[in-house]
Amino acid sequence: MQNPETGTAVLSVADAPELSEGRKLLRRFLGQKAFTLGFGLLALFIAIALLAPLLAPHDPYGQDLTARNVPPFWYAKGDWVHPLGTDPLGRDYLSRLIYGARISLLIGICVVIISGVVGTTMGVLAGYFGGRIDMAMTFLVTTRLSMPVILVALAVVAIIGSSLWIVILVLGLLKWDRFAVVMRSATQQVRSLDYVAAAQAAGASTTRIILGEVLPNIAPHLIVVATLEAASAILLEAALSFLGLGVQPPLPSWGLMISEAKVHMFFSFWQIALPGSALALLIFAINLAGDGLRDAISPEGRN
Amino acid sequence: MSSPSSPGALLEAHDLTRSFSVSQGLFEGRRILHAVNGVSLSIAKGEVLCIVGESGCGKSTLARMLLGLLPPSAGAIAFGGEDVRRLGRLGMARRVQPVFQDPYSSLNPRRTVASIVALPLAVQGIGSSAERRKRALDILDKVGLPKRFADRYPRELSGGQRQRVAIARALILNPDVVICDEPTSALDVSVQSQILNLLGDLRRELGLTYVFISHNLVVVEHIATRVAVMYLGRIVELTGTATLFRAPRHPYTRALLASVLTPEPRAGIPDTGLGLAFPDPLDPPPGCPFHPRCPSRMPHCATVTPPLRQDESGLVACHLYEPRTAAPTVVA
Repeated sequence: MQNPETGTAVLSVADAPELSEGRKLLRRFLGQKAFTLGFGLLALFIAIALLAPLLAPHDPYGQDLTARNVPPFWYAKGDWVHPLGTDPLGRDYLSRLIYGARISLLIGICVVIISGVVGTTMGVLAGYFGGRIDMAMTFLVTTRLSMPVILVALAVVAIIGSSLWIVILVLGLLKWDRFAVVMRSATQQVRSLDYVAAAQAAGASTTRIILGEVLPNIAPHLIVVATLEAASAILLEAALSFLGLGVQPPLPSWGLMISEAKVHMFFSFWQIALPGSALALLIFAINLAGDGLRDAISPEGRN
Repeated sequence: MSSPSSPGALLEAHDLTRSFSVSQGLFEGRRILHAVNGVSLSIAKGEVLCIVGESGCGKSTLARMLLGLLPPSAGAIAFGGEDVRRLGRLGMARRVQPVFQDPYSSLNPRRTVASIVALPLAVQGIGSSAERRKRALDILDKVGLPKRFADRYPRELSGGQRQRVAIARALILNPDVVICDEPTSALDVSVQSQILNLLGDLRRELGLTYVFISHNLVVVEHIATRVAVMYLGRIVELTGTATLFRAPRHPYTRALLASVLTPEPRAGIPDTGLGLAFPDPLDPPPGCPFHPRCPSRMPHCATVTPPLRQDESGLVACHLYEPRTAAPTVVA
């Protein structure tokens, strides 16, 4: 084997039995305990959400007025028919929690898709073209940042009513600011690099350069922002539902469950603690996984 | 435009100027910086034209204009007698290709070597993806990179190997002119000569023409056929390599040549006689731009800008070499 630099025969480490790129990526991921934990938890939540009809022992909407406020199994009065008890309407709490994962993840993913598309488009265009486009984008971001998300969301929901999809749309169209800001500065950085100039010199169109040269190189930033925003969207939905302006009953949203349980807080503490813990655990998992993804994907951090 | 094109000229620049408007702060307004100021060049097929000058003299701006990456503020560029604006983006790319200085930023870290090298073909819509890959492998072989590098990522390559990839990418469209913007200055000394030899071999083999931007005069003497010396956005001397190194004429060229470090340890750091101050390009000196640093300045150097004059040993822009008959008129 010839090394073109020295012309001598060499046996470099890279020539040793090579791992495929995917295998190496996986190995880097699993090398981090935090990422493994976060991604494992997140995968668990996703599995629960996908398999909800198979996992839930009862119908999450089915009321049973003979079994109201049944405590979970570890209480003396608890039983295994309703492992995590029932709510004041006699609905099985475990089933509602399982279906609640669906709503939280649906909101997290949809909001991130909408705001990610809006924010990334704006940020990349502003960062790539600069000048007037950049000024217009900066103005829009400042305008958007001057309005608190929760207030605008409350106002919109109060005016046009609320449903799951309205909450998703409102949050999606409000939360693009961080995407725009981060993508703008990342694009500015990449745009000044010589490989963009080389692509231009090869005659590549602007669309081709943005899609082929710029976007793949700012994707790590995109993933980090997306995970953070997903977590924050899930929390915002819970907050809106808690205030009664988000997802409407009888949908089993975790925020709504906390809200419905707050009057019973001193008598059946678990009704508020269970959805609260589920929410905290999901946010924790998403943030851990996002941090790990960033470390593993960015080429700079590789060894 | 009336092109004073010399026969056999491949790439020509006529009175090329590029200015940038520089913001001075919120209430100061904007000022004009002339990065390149009225540069005319004519590059013949097969030659190696080196452009030298200190940092900030506009050589990279000139290179970007010749590549079509930066539109000139004034002046025109012609390829084979035809205005490059008529050639279009893709047409220009087939004729002129770049090799950049830093191979760590000139290769997209998310593409494999084969995909980087084949990108110009993909952009031009040449061949199927299998054909493009085959051509990429051929050209990689020509620049001395074995097949096994094709599916690696740039981060797995050394600086010299990366620069070979960049050269392969520049050559895959069979361009006539390759514009090398300091292609060796980011590399280890031991690798520099290999890359220079590779460039020299490729030129002979493929009949390439180089515009070679460098501030390393040792490299220039080794590779150039003609040398253009730039100072503050203008060409101050342009002549054959042998002539320039044997008898430099412009005082700035002489200072540049005096600045070359020798391996002789006792020689110390050479004194160029230039002083430390590079003039502010936003506020260039009147008259000859070099006069504040010139050891042989004359009174009228501060007022009259010397034109670039052709004489028997090349082009030079300096009052010292004006014909004696035309006595300089001193403007008060």
